[in-house]
Amino acid sequence: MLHSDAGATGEHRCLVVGMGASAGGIEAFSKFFDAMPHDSGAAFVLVLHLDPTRESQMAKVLAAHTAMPVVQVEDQMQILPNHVYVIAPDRDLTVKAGVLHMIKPAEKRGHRHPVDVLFRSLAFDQGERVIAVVLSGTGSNGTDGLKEVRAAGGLILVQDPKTAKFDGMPRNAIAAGMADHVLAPEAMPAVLGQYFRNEYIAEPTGGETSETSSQHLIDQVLTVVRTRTGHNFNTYRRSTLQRRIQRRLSLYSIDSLDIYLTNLRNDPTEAASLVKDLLINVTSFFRDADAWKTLCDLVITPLVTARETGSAIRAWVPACSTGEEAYTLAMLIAEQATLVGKAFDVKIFATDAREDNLQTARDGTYPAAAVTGLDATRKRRFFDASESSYRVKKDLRATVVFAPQNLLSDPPFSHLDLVTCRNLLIYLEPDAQQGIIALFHFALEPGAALMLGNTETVGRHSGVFEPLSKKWRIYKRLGATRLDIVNFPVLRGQPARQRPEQQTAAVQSPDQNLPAAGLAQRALLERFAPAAVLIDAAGRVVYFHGSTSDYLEQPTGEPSSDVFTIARDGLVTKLRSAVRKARDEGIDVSFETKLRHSVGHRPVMVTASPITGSGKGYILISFAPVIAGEARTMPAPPENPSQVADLRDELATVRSELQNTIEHLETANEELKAANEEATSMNEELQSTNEELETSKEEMQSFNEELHTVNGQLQSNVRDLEDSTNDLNNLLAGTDTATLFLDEKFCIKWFTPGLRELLELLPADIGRPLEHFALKFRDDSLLSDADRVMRKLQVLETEVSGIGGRWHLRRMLPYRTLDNRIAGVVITFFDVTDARAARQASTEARIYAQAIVETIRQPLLVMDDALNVVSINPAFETLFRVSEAQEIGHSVFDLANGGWNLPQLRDLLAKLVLDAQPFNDAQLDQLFPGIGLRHLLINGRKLLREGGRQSLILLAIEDMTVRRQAEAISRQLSAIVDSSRDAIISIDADGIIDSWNPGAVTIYGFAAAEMIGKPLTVLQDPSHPDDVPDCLARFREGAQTLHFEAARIRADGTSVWVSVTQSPLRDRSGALLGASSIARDITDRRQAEQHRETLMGELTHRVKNSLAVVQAIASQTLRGDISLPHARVAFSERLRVMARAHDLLVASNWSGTDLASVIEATIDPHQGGKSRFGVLGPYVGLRPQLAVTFSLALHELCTNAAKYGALSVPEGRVDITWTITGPADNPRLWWQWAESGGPVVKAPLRKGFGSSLIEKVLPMELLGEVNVSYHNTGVICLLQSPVPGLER
Amino acid sequence: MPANTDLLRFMILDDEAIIALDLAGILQDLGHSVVSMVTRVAGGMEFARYGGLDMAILDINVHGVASFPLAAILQDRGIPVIFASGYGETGLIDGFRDALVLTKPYGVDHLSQVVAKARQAAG
Repeated sequence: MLHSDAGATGEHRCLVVGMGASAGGIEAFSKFFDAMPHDSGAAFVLVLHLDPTRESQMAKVLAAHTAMPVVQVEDQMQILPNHVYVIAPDRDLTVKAGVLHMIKPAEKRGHRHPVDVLFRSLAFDQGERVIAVVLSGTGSNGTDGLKEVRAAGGLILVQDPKTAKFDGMPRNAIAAGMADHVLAPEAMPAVLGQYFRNEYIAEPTGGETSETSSQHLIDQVLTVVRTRTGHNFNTYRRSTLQRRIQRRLSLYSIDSLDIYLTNLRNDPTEAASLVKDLLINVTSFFRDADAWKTLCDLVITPLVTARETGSAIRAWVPACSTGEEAYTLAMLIAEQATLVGKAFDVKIFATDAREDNLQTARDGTYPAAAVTGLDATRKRRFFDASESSYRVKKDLRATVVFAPQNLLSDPPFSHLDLVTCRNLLIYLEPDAQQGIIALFHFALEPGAALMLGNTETVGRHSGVFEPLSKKWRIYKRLGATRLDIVNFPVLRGQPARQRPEQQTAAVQSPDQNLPAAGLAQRALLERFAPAAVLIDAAGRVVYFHGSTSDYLEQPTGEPSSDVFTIARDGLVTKLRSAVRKARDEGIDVSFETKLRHSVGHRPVMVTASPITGSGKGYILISFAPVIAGEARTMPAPPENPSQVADLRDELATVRSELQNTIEHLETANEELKAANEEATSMNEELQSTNEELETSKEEMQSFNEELHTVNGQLQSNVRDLEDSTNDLNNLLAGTDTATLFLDEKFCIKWFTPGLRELLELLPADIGRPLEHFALKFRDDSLLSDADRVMRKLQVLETEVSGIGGRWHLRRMLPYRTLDNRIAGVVITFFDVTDARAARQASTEARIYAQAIVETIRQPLLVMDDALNVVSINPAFETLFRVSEAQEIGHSVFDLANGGWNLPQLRDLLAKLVLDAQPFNDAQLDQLFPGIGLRHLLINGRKLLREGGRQSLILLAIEDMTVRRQAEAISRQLSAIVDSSRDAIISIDADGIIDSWNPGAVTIYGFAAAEMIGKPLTVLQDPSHPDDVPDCLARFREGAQTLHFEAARIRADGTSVWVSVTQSPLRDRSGALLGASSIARDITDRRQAEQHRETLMGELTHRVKNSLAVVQAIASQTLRGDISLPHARVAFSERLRVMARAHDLLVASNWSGTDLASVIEATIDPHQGGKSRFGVLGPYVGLRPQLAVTFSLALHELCTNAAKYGALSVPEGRVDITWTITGPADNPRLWWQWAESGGPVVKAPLRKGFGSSLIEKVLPMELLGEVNVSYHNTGVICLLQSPVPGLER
Repeated sequence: MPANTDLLRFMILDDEAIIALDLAGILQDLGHSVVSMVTRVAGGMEFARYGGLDMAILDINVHGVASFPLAAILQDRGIPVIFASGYGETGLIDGFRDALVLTKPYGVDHLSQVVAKARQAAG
């Protein structure tokens, strides 16, 4: 129902500006009132979302921004101009007759729309004077109320969202097309001020402007609108039109319709805006719930009760706007059908002239606010709820067909069970209203119902409609179809809207359009041509020419165009036969007859001429009076008796003729009667046939209309489908996802370009079986999987490897159609190479980490924030003899019988948990019950996890107990190694030195730093390359300890002999890690051995040499003729001397002796009284050989002296003296044996070996000369030679 | 060269004069002559180069000096050399490994055989 005309009558009240805001509203209000003059004459009613539990300070806040009084609203407060009224908390505010009312809100807190409530009531109360302002706020509050304001013709200002702190409310209002002006708050007062002064507001509403000039201008406006938009508002109520146009004027602050008309012509959008204003329709679901309930009770319930399941129910909702009313009706019918347990073929035609409305209606999506009035059951049953909107479910949408239709110009639907047309008629002129009511009468089935708006009636058609509910304007169609009252709109397809204009043009202005030649022809025709009529083949007059009133006359009763009916008496019979003849024979047929006339009979020549050519079938009948001059004119009957006789005769003749004629006529009459009866019955039949045909035609037209409607719908659907297909194509091409659609037989149905990388497909391959194609990826189970997906209707995901090492996730799912049928499978391939690599890496990392945790010897303990055990690793279990299963979830301080409950640890953990402060190598020496003393080193870390998950505490524990013991042993060993004098070296498995002790430094002369890292072979003595066995190779073959001696090279390049013991270092599995080498310096021992060997060789040589000398002595001794006993004595004496010389040499270690010693030793046996020898001379060194030779020679001298010389007597003596003389570079030895005091000696006769020794051997040895002379005093032997050892 | 090829002119080198003297006596007993008898290598070099001789008996180590240079001269002259040494064959050096050796002390028979062998080899 509409309020526009309902409210604002009566006394002139002040303007009320309703203002709505929520979040950010105070700032907007402040700016608004800063700019608003205090004497505008308007009142301002402000609604905000206020905290219902708190006192509002709004009034005080705003009072600082305006000079107007600002008050918080109290109930029943009268609205006064230049006042500001602020809503009270927890109340809804309404305005009724200029008085403010406060009501307790019906909705729950959070669902209230107080701004809507205010706007609605203002629209009702103020009518078109209403002014609504929407400012900053969230949500959609206000928009619904604005619709009412709009419908009432009020002004709507909306804050520019750019200036709004919260733009939800302004945006919603703008999106709903409600805003007349979008402005910043501070700019609004200026616009309002102008608006207040405007005629539209200033003038009381409802006043008719009767100025014809104004009316004329409005007509022009409508013409422009009709041309621009095709909407014809000629039948709309003038007053409404005028107000709406005035409103447009006021919005632009124009006060002249002329200017507006210019604007309208210049601005193409203005016409659409005006149409929008004119076609305003406020509607909502179950608007006027009581009306719908009544409709339901009175009409729908009986309807569904009466109808069989499966039958059709047809309804029409003209001017459906955005479809709420149509859906309301659909819901009611659906509900009632459910109640009686029947299913109907419900078809609701919902039509509107505005295509944008229909779009909204078809879509069926409404803001949440639109359905707030619906109970939960309806919402659930009929709507799909989404975040902020509700969409009518598809099955309900399917029952409503939305189509563009203009009630005033388009044909109606027919055979309807119900028509609801609310609040449309009030906009229309009464004639148009009646036309539409008649149209509804036609459209409805007999007995069907019509529902109108609260203020509308069926008017003068009350005869054909019987009210069912007077209050809610529900009517029942009465009587038969009355074609006469229907001004049937012409079928669409012809230029329906223009047709009346053409007709009008043709009728109204023939004269203006005729050219001069036409005028001439026309005049000639009128002047000279006889009166004539043109009849068609059925005898109907289609054209009159000239004055035919003398020949034709309309009878009483209904007017007729049948020429035989309207022909005057006396003309009919002849005319009929003439016409027949003319038609049959195709010639002009003329006859002359007399027609009774007011002044007598007048002869007339009638000619029936068949028309040839394009007018075939038509016959022109012309009437030409016979001119008197032609003697055809019968004079008036003479008034004399002779004539009486003539007349009597004639009368008699005529009588008999008449009698014949009468008889003839009677016969004919009988025949005609019979024929008439036949004709009558035939006529009746034809009439009924005709009626049937009419009905059929109307039905066909309606049906045609329906088809149009459905076609329109289908076209819209097709467009939607095309859009969807385009969207889908672009989506699939855009995402580059390889997608393959297969039908039930696994033939290719469709594929995306992205698939080419996996499967070489061309568009022509569509329809071919997939198995015909070679896959570019390894996937043996593709078809079998597809089969499985089809059978089990499950989604299947597999990874397949493609070309170039790529991996694809193959996702296969059943292809479901909208009706939930399985029509194949859809296969998509996603390149997951990277994801897979990442996953693999992550799995490997996890396995790696897991393996580390499982195998690491370090005990690990993981706790949560609360220090409860999350996990422990096997090393921990082993060390502390606990099991993970038992300890998980327990506090760490309960672990190991409370062994972990230590103040030190508590401190560390507290810091770790609170500050994430890690600690390293925290030392913990603790006697654990049942385990013993443990030296532990603990590292702690806090593991912060992503996604806000609880962080973990990780403790890594190192058991130092064993290591400490090992360290002690190691220190001892190290001390031994360091203090050893042996070179102790270790090498790794590659022979590289990795330790070098001080002993080695001493022996080899290399510092440890020089040698570590070098191969052991650098010590090899190149002159003894084979000394060192390849110990590592030997150890690898299984050798244990190796002992050998080798020469090594020292730092100074000298060799050193070492005795080496090498032992392998092996790990537990026996694999060789390296070797240790202990070397002892054996250079001294080695040298001693060599020396000994040399000595041995020397000794052997010497012994052999000595033996050779002995052999020579023996050989020489035995030479000659000496007796054997003498020879024996001499030989043994010589051997004894030799032995004495050897004794001397042994005493000197065979290095030689000196001359004096040799002499002393040799002469000793010959001493006797010890004073017989004088020995004097300097030191002369003798080499061993010379010592022996000298001894032997001296012995021979002594023997001879004892036998024959000085020593043979007691007084005799021998002086042995020697000296060294000569130059320093060639000194010579002078040696002399001089006997004295003995007998006289003579030179022997025969010289034996003794002589040879003295005179041959000695000089040879000494390279000198020996001279033996025999004197009286004894023998003198003189030796002169180079000094032994110095000889050249 | 003497007319009687059975008689050889010997050179004796030995640092033991007694032995040299004895050897000379033995060789003379065997009918040979000793043309040079020296106790120093240096003292024998001149004779070795230019002296007339048929064979030489050389001690190897003569007062600490090896006799091989002298032996080499003789060999170059085609004069057979017999080494006499307490070291036996072990005292030989390269170049003289195949030389005939008398190991001291040796007997007269042994000497005769070696001399014969030397003569044969020089043959």
